[in-house]
Amino acid sequence: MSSTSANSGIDEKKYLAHHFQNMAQQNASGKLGMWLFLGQELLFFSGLFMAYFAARYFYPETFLDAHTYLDWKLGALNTVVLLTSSLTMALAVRGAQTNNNASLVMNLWLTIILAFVFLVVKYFEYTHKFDLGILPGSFYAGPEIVGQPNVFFGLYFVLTGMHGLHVVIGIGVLIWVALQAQKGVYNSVNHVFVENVGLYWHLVDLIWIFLFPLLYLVK
Amino acid sequence: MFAKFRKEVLQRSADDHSSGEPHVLPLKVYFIVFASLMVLTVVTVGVSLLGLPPVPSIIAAILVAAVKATIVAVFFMHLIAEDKFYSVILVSTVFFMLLFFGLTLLDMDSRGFKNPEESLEYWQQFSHEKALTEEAAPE
Repeated sequence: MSSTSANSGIDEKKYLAHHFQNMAQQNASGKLGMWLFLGQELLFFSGLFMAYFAARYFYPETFLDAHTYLDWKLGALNTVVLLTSSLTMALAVRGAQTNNNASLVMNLWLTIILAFVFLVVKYFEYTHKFDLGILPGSFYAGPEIVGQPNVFFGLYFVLTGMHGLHVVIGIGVLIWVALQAQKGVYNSVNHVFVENVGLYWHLVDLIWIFLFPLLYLVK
Repeated sequence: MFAKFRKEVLQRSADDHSSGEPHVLPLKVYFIVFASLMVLTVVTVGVSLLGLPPVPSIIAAILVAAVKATIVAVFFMHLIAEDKFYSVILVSTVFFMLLFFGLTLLDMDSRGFKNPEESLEYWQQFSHEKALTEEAAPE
């Protein structure tokens, strides 16, 4: 763990691309690109959140009534699942940084399992709503709710659906990283890819942190 | 306390940057952060059960979420030990998000749809007119 000797015995030239001067520059460039992408993701999601705020402004009573059809306990469960997956992801990154490949691989697979748990819970939530006829937009055939329930559930499906899509993409990338990690590709020199996937995964968690109270806990 | 901790973290890995040595946070930090996020999740649910009026309730919910998000960004996303430039990107993004939310809400607020009945009437009228124009001009 001592940072002075962590990189000893690892050939940096193996990982350094020819257009970078050293690993510090290469890693910083990679992370800068990731942070710019994450900034863009936040701005993209802020459009969806703004739609939520506008609709809630217009139909406060609809939101109060309609959100009772969402099970806040399942939402809370998914919050815990995602936060735990964020912890395992952070530990995976730490594993790569400290040349602990066993910890890296194990924590990556734990993250993937938790991501699947999240999707399974989401699947039960969605099918329960479909059974009640709660479908987005003009397909809404659900219970009578004051105002415009189709607007609330349209937002619900778009917000959680977009977030779910990010989870699915995250699972794909995580599986790829885990398979690479099993081959021993990552170490304290070559870890920026794991870190960037981690940053993406934490952002997915971060968006859910806002979605949970806004959709499930309307009061 | 926070500044001291940051200094400590940076000092530990400040010796050699040219080789791309990662800044490693102590293992303990991750578990403390995780525990505090769990506590704050309980707080999120608790705040919604307080029976606050709508506007304070949504503000409280967003504030708790913002604290959680900050903790995730600072520790899980390693901003505490990284080059400050990444924090600048995040903070400026959040600034523009707030600008976007703030100006849009201000605009809506100045149009006089304060109460739900009025807004409902407006949108019903709007969709009715839209339906009429669509009828008048069939494909």
